[in-house]
Amino acid sequence: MSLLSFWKKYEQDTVSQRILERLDQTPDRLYARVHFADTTHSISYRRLAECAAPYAAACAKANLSAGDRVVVLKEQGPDLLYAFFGAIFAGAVPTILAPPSPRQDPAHFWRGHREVMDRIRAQLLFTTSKLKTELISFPTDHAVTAITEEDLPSTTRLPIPDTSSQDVAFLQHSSGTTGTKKGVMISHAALLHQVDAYARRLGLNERDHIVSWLPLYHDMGLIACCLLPVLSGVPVTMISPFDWTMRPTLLFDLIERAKASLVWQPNFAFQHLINCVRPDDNWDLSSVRAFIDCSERCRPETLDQFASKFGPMGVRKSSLHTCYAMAETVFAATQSEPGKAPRTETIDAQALVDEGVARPTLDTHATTSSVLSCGKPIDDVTVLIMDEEGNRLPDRRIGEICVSGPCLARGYDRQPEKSASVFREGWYHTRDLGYLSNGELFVTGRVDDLLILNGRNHYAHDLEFSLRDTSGIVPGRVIAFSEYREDLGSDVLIVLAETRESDTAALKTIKKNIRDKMLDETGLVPASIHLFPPLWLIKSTSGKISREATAQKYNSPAREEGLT
Amino acid sequence: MTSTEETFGRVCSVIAAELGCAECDLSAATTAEDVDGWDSLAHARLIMSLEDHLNIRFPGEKLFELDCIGDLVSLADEALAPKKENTRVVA
Repeated sequence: MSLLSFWKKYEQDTVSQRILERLDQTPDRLYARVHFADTTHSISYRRLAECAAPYAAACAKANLSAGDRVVVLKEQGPDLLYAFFGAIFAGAVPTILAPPSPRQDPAHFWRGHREVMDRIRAQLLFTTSKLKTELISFPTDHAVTAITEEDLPSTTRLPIPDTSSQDVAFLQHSSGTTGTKKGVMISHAALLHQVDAYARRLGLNERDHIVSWLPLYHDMGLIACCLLPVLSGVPVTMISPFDWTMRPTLLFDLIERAKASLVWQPNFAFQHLINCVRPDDNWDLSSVRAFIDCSERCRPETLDQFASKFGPMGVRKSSLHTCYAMAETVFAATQSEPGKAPRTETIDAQALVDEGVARPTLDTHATTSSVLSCGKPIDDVTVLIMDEEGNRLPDRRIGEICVSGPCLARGYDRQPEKSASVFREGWYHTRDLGYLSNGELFVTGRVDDLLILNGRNHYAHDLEFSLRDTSGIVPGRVIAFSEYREDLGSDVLIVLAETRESDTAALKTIKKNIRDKMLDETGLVPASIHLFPPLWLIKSTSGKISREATAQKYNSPAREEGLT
Repeated sequence: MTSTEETFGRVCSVIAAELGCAECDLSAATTAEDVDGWDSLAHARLIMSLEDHLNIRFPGEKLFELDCIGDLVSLADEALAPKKENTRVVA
């Protein structure tokens, strides 16, 4: 019995089955072209299966049971894909974690990753020789077996996994520092529903080609630019985020070369391209039918600038799109309509704050806010706006965005309390604020203190915690918040702290301490650090420092009381 | 003034303009970690700005190996060297 007929017999709709169907029908069709270490790797379905097989065999050799967790920690190259799919074929549950950044302290990096490996009880770690050596220097309670390419068994035969559509297919880890990363459990059924529904909304077809620089440890990179392609038969060309950051126009080179039609990226990346393309540069970008803005607040002014700057290269307003997505719904909950520019509403900013209403206004004297539509929900997904008591709110009333449907995650792995706090009665409570208008979703802010910096989520309290032992600052007297920077198309991180020092050299050292701590523990670089004398930060009635009130004070003349 | 000193001055002036810091706070030993907002995206913008101001192109593979402003100045000097050589021949 062939693998495919085995699967058909048992009608198991899983990721493995879908890939095997593709392998059976179009074994030599291109799945991915991966640019890695100065080499371009072309991966067909046949090659994917053959190269994933040793990883699947390594899982079997380690006596992994179905559902056992496997961590994949590799640079973004073909081997990362083989390891991830190998674990899925073995019936294990892989999760891709971010590789170390050259600027991050290895001790902090490993502390965070070991904490995740301990919590999810990872049995295997697919990694590189270099990282395996580093791992040995940072042991923890839970033993994990590290497997490198050199350790892999020699085989090209895939096993028959014992998985069903309701099993967890993989974990998607959120960003954050030690103790705050959450592993979102995505079942095969939820993933396949997402892929099918999202492909229908986008009108995905055989002529499409995706180009991506997105990291695969992020849901947008993994779902839209790795799993959607492999499960839909749409090829993808990938470069590493590292290379893109340094040379953002590589994306345009690849679009032109592949005549690509689909690109996903966060808002800051649109702005980074606007900032980094020289006036005399030129590419043919007319093949792209959708540049999709996602994973942080979509800004109408950024997309307007993008259309204006790259219009002469073939970018049309109707090819700029928006999507509201998160790992907890696998990926997309809503998506703007292909071929049509998403709607921008100009609303009364005062009514938004005072009355919680999104009131369109043409009053030129009013303070206004422009909000971009994220489109309508994809098939079978329902989006509602709820108040704090869980009551459904009518159109144009601001409240918490809640999502329901078959692509909801199963919760956070081994974190039942965190899961129960946001997955309630079939709804995922996103903590995002927004409103609905004619079935379209508009996102306006956050309920809690989540900061979205360059498309990645970070909790303010978590960032503040990372600075707890910083030498020179008054203990507990530090806050982190974000501010939107139009020239960057994204929010930037601001840190305010109190100190008893006043000497210029000492203040300089304290700022450096803060910078170093933040970078080591979170990988973030604050855009601004300001030091103030004791009692400058404002406490709320509960005795905690109020970020909102302090941020307001910071944006007032009182800021001049700062020491630096 | 040596060519390195001249390059150092031009590099620091671009860094100060791009990152909004004081030029007098910058030295050859200054690292990205010493300056607010000098993250990887700012680094990319800075490199592009330096390339435009100095009319050079940096070799891509070396751009993430730089430890401090002194390294950046050395790399800029390397990129400028052929231009200066050509200028001399022509003169």
